[in-house]
Amino acid sequence: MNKVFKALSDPTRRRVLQLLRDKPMSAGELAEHFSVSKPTMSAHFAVLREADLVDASKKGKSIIYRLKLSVLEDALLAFTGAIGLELKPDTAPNTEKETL
Amino acid sequence: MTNSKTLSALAPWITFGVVVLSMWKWLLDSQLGANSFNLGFLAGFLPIVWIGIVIKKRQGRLSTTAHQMLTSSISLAGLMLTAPLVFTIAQSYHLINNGIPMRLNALFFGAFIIIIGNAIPKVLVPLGAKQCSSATEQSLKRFGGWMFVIAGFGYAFIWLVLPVPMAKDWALPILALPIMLLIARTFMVRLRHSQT
Repeated sequence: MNKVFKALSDPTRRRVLQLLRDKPMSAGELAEHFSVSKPTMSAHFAVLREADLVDASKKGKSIIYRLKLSVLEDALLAFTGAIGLELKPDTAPNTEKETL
Repeated sequence: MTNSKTLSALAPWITFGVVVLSMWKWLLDSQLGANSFNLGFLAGFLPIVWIGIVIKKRQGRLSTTAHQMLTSSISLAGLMLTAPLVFTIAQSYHLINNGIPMRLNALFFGAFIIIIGNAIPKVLVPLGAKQCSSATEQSLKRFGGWMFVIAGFGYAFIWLVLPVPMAKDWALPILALPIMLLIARTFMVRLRHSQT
């Protein structure tokens, strides 16, 4: 459960999960929503995979990420959003600045 | 869904416990002249499943993952049987009142529905083996998981707060409503899928 809390503690990772709620996406499609470097995104994906919150399956040349949240984890994600830790949808895409 | 190493490891002990408890219950019932066929039959079924698993394993026709899934399912089934056995035995010794075993069983069943519902969205079908889009599968599983959890909570809550005769009348409709919603949504998805 510690891994889940660690994964949900970061706004970028929460945003990734929120994007995956709509539909499964490739790593490239997900990365388009963030202005962070690829290694940083890969690190975020690794944390999410380690917490078993996303599934990464290879399809052709791309890796497709799918949401793998239990109902409890889904509720936790919604809760973090409800208490104001969520990024605003209108400002989240392409506005996050992170450095390695 | 029930693939857990801990549950799998506990399976032999849970089976043994269920068999012992069902024999105890059978002895108590035979003293009272009561019929304990149903629970005894179900408890007797677990060792039979075990024998099948051991035979398949020895023949090399059971993968480690399949073995783990089967044994953890046995554990869950055993736990579901343990609750009514323990409560009815305790009732026979007048350790608990008449209405309590029914309530505890219902709470246990509600918790079981919640656990199953919680795990539903975690079970993913391999990308190549899909009959519908990944987005549809994902949204349906999330909806299904939530419906099961709500149904389980509703069922347990009704048994927790209402008097037993009222709970008997209300618990099943409360349990059935979210499940019916899930069936209706699944049917609509299927209909939309066949139209496109």
